[in-house]
Amino acid sequence: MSKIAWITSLNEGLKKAEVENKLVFLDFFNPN
Amino acid sequence: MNAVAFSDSAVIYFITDNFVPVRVMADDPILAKQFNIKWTPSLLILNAKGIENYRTLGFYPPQDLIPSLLLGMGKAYFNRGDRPAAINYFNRILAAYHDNSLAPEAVYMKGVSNYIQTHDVGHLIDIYDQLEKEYPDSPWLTRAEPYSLLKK
Repeated sequence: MSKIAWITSLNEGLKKAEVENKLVFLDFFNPN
Repeated sequence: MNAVAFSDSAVIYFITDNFVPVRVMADDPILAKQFNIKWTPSLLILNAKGIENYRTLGFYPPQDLIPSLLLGMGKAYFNRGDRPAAINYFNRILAAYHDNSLAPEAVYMKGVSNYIQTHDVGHLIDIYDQLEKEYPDSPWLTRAEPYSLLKK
């Protein structure tokens, strides 16, 4: 595993978290 | 943040194993406003309903990010009312990251969790005693000072 498989939709992440009984780690990304 | 912490293999495995990782742009017009994002890096831990349980601001090197996330996970379970799970996360910080700057907060949160579980004030006294012994310079010792008055 060489990198984190980020999900780019919060709604999608929340649904996945519900199904997998996990917490969401939310990164507000600033490319600068 | 991306260049250092998120390329560290231990961080990658920890986040992948324990979370659903979501990345959005810091200037997202809806989410940045919803979560009141004013500066980056801003890292949040949310429950599955989207409720924020923990937030960090500023850069965390890899060796500090994992204990920070453990603390956030502990707080998330604490907020959920699952004190045994919360205590497990606080214990993991104390076992693996005893000298980390976040460890005194883990001592405090662990003791509070134990107290809520048992209503035994001995757990509050233990917070003070452990902080006084192991982290005497921590501001968390000051926060626990009232518990020293519970000693008979």
